[in-house]
Amino acid sequence: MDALPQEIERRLSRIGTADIVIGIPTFNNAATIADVIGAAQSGLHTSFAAARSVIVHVDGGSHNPTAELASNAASANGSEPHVLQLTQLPDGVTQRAVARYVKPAKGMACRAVFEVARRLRAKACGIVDADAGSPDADAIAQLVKPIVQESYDFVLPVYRRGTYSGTITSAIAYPLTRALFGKRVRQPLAGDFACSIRLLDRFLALDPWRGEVARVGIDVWVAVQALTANARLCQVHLGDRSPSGSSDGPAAGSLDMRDALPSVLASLFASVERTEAVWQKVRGSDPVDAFGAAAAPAPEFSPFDVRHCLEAFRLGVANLHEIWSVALPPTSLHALRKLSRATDDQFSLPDELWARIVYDFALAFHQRHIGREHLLSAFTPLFWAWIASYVQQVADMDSEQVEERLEALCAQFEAEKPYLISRWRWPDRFTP
Amino acid sequence: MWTQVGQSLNESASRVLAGLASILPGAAALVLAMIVAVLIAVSVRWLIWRVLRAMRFDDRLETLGFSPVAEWSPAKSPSLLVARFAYWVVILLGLLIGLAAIDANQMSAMMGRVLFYLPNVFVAVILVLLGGVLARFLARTVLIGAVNMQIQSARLLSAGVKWMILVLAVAMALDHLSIGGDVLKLAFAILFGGIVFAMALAVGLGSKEMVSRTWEHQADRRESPVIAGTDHV
Repeated sequence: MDALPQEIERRLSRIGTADIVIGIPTFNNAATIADVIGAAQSGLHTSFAAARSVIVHVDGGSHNPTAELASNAASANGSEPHVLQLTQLPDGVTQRAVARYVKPAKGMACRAVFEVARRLRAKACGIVDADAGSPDADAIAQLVKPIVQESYDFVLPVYRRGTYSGTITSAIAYPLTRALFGKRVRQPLAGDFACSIRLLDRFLALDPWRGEVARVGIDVWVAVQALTANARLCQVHLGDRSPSGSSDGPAAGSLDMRDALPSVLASLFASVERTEAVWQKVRGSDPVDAFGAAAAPAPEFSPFDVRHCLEAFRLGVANLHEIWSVALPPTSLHALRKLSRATDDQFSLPDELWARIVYDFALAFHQRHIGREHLLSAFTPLFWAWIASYVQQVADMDSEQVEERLEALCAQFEAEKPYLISRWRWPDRFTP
Repeated sequence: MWTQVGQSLNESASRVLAGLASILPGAAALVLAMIVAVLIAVSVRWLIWRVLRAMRFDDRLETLGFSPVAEWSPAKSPSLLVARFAYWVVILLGLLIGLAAIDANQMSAMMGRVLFYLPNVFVAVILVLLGGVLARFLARTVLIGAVNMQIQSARLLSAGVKWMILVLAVAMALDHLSIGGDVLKLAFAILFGGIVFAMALAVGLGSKEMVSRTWEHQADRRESPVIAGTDHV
């Protein structure tokens, strides 16, 4: 680990130890940073009055007054808990626009927070994403409570989301991580999380910080590490937290699908590649402990134009056959071609085919038979097909039925896992 | 008379045999040079391939953003491409050495000409190869990008980009080899202009509504099948 700034080192020496560290990575979050710091201070003060808490704000070089607003918010709410500000990342990571939707170097910001937590020997370390709107003060406390009071190692939030929100999580991230790692973590891409000092030591010891993880994919990396480390996991239902755009642009989740999808897929597939020795031994899945009450989402109108989604898919079938054939076997290609001829009303993408498509793309990502950017971008029309099928299926369902629908999808991912293992082990020999 | 005929035949036979005898050492040297060259080439190829594999050359190239090289390479491996290139360079050197052994004077003059021209051929080959890699990469980029932006003439755009770059690369290579002269430049200008004109017509006529919306409203983002601001992740 590169040295923390001297001023921070001095303040850490003065503080000595702490029970809880909350890290807030920011990049151009002037609209939300004051509320996030205020919520963190208030939540810690109310729920952990006797504990020694420290808030660490790490800014990735914002082009707006995020740092100044954070500083003002910190001083406005008194001296407790301590608020440490790192306005420059420890090793001066440059803002490389690898993926537009991910803030620069969130991984490096998390690493700085982890390092502060380790120096202070904190029992719990939470990361709160300032991109995802202003959190409830109690929610931040609820996030770290299972670690402080119940000795869990890793906590992920479950936010209340509408039927049509978080489609990437519902269609890919949740079924894939559940099938591969055997734990039913509903929102593995939540952006917020909390971990114990034991897990934090492991994160720092693994040192992935020079690679892509330093810039993108820290959320997936951390979740997958926790899933594969025999850590005690739980999830906490925290109600609503919808992304809100910053003054310099929309929030992470609300950016265009064409930007968000390849970035998320890259992080997920890279994790699949890194953990191949682990997930091949896992069978089935188990629920993880959950705290709080799961609230049903409010009814919402579909933001998707199904006809347009299908047009996008059919255009992909007509033009991207050559690229898809690098990843998909002939049976899947044939099924997709057949599907493209279905009428709009009868259009339905079978879960089995969808699971195999995701697995095949994960394998193609691993094999590098084609440039990864091309491969991941070529996935977009297939995802439109899933959305069109999903939107038509859940249009008249209530939230429970929607969860059952997603449960069936996850079960299919688990059922198709031997397919992935066979193709992964013998990519040339296995021809479905 | 028959005596003279026999004498002539004897003389011609001995001339041919003497000629053959004079070539034989050179031919043997050529065969030997080729055998040695093949052995060295195989060793060099193996050595380079092992070293590059140990250096994780393919992964590094991918990380640095040269994935198109991998796609073009044999077995998708740039390491193998470099190793095979070195192999053929050694074989070519062996061939030149062997040919020089047959007739030193003629071969040295020929080799002088060849060696003088060789850099041009080398550069031309590199130009065509790079053009091929770039054309394929950009064609694929345009195709995927256009499909994701739901442009109906995606394939046409992609093919246009591909052939424009290929034609440009071949024209540059031929110009470098001084082949074709003005005829080539003229043909290139006509062909290149024709492709641009065809693409302009295709885009203008085939996607004129899309183009006009793009100019007016940045329609590429609004054409998404989802309402802006939806939380996908």
